[in-house]
Amino acid sequence: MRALWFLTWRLLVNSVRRTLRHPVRAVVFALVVGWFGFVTVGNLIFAIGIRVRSASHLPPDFTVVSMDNLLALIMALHLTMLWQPLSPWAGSTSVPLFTQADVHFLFPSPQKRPTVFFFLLFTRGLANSLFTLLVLVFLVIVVGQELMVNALMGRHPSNVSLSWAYPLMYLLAFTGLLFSGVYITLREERREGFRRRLSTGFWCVIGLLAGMLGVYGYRAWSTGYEPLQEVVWHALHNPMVAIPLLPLRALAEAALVFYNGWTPYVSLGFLVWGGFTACTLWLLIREEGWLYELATRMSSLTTAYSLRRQSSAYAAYQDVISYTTSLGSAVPRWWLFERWTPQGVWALLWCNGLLLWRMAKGMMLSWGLFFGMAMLALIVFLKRYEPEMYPVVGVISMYTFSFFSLFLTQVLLVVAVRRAEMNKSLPFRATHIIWMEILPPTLFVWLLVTCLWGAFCVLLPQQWAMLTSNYLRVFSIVPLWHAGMFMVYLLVPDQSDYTQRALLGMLLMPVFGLTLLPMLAIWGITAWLSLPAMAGAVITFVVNAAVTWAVVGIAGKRYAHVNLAE
Amino acid sequence: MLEVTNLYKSFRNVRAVNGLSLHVQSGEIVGLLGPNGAGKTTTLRCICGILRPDAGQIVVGGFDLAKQEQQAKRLMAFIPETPNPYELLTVREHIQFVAMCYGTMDTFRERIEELLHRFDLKEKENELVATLSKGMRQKLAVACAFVHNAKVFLCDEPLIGIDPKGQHELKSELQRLRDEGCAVLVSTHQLDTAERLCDRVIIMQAGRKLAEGTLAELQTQAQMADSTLEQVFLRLTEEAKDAGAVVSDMATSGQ
Repeated sequence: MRALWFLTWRLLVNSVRRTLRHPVRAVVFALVVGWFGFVTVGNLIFAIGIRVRSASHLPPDFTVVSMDNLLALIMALHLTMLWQPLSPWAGSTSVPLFTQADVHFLFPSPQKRPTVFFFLLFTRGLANSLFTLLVLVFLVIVVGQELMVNALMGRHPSNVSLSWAYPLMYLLAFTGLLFSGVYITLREERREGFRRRLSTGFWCVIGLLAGMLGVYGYRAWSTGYEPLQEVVWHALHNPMVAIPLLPLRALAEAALVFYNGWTPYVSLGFLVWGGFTACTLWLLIREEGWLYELATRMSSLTTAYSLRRQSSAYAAYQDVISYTTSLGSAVPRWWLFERWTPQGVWALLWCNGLLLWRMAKGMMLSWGLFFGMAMLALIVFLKRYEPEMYPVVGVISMYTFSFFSLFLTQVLLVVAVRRAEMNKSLPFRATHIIWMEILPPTLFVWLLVTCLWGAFCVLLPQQWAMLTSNYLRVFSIVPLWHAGMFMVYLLVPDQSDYTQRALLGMLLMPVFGLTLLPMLAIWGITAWLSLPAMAGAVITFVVNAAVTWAVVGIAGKRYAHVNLAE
Repeated sequence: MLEVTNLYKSFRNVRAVNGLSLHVQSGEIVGLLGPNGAGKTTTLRCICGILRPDAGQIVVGGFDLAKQEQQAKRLMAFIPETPNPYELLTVREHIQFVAMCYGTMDTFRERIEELLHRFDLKEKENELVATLSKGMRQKLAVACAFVHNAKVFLCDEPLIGIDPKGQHELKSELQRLRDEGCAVLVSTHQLDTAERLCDRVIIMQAGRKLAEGTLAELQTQAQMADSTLEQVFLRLTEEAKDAGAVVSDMATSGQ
């Protein structure tokens, strides 16, 4: 155990040291830490100096309906957050749970097998989860300053003694899901098809629940009631839906224990999540002999990453092969890539497009499907709003969809940075290579936004000018977002390094904010000068294009010198 | 010192090791030879406890690996093929970590300096492993294997990536280990090295043991007197491949 703590501690310390030795990363690190310190200390001073209002009292007009909505929102948040531990080798941006170094040096040692396995699984899995949570922490600090001041000053007038409930339940849920993800992988290794059967069953249940909620929503809508409210009510109070969603409800209730106190759902949640975790742990311990073998298999999927310095071409394509193999499917083909065979730098676009298609086909199709369904829902629910709200909904949906698409495409940029050493040897300028790297994900988002714009223009032809002006703005911001993200990935390319991983989580949000600045500034100026919306959109388009060009230029300089071993 | 009996290991539908038995005595270097995919690495990984055998028994220094795992592992050292050390540890920290894993921190201080000098790692001792070349990483892996007093050394292609001087030194080290009474099992493709270094060789193909013995015994088996190990190896593996093809054809035609 001492050796394992030593390993974890030294990896962490050396990771910080490596970051501090790199001039640019050191500055960014100092800025991030300084900013956190400034906000925290600033809030504390503010809290001491000024009488703090009690943020933990609910507003008087906070009705039961609002509480239901809040619960539903937190449940939905958990539904998206708790996916990660279920997939033990989730995503290319994760810190790997097991590495080849573990296989080569730790597993042959006389350390106890379960101790090593569960220690690595838990610490690295938790680290991954914490990095995801950093984005949320960032938002809490930015948005919820008052809440934080109260938390720091201990001025919660009610239920403060129950503050341990949520972290403990989250930890139990996280651990249980992590263990179950590993157990599913173990069973899949020994009996092919287990995961597919399980996931089919799971999606059937989810589909059934979604279908039921959809029916309730439709009924409410057709009888003139608020459909969303009806859906929320059924999700929380209809036993047919509420019982399967109980684990999520329990987490949401635990998160709101400050306000609501200890409800029966919290007790049930501890029982359910505690029992689930104990059960999955027992299942894994029963398979003790297979744990190292499973970890070896899992680590082999990250081998490409560690071999990148020895053979970058291998590493680049290994990602695709690993992903395709993990799906157990044949290599996907598409007629477009069979017929279109460009020359010169465009060949790189062809190659990157093909890689994107093969790596993310499933993800893109799922997102596209979700996108289509959401569009249908929007069109149906649009009739509930006042006519002047129609284009507003359209505009908001264009911005929202393009922004959330980034969570999908950002993974592809990590792989793009890994290809750097191979691409640098090609006879193209670094800026051209970067354009070819950011274009495929950009084209994907453009396609979605264009569909959305087209649909709304057909539905609301009289509002085409407003829709088109915003379409131009979104269209021009998408490549800028990708260029900004690429710049961040070039700065922190090694996602197996704890500090770089944390920096990435902290940098992405501010970068998104910065890339929005030109657009917001032009918006303000055009409004002040009372210029037509279309003129503002065209100016935004031109300025965003110029800024994107500049960012790609700066990234190009960095790309030429990127060294993944730094 | 090392006794493997009827070892079986499959990955889904592929049988990687098929009823392999072998033994390595104290003061002996045994070479494990075979074409790619013969099951050499899988065998070594089963012996050092990374992979779980489907069947068979592995006994190290009298300890059954399945029942007395810790005691058996304490006697073994493993040098992996293309080692991937922890990139964010320094060279010194890496060796220290391995010493901690094996519980030999009491002798670590005396041993570390000796190892750093012996494997030309002294200049790099405070540098991150991430900055090391492939050859230096291999040397680090070898140094880690020497950090505790192992009695059985399992080496998977240990000479790959090391410069000629390093190769010469490593071979001398292995010979020194033999002289000190350790058992060494070396998997290698370098047949000339195996011929000079190993007391005995085991030739594997498709997970099975094809032949075993000293060079003279193998020459007799292959009916190739005065031949090199390379010639014997090629003859035996080709014959086995042809025999396998005939059996496969017979199975396909239902004979």
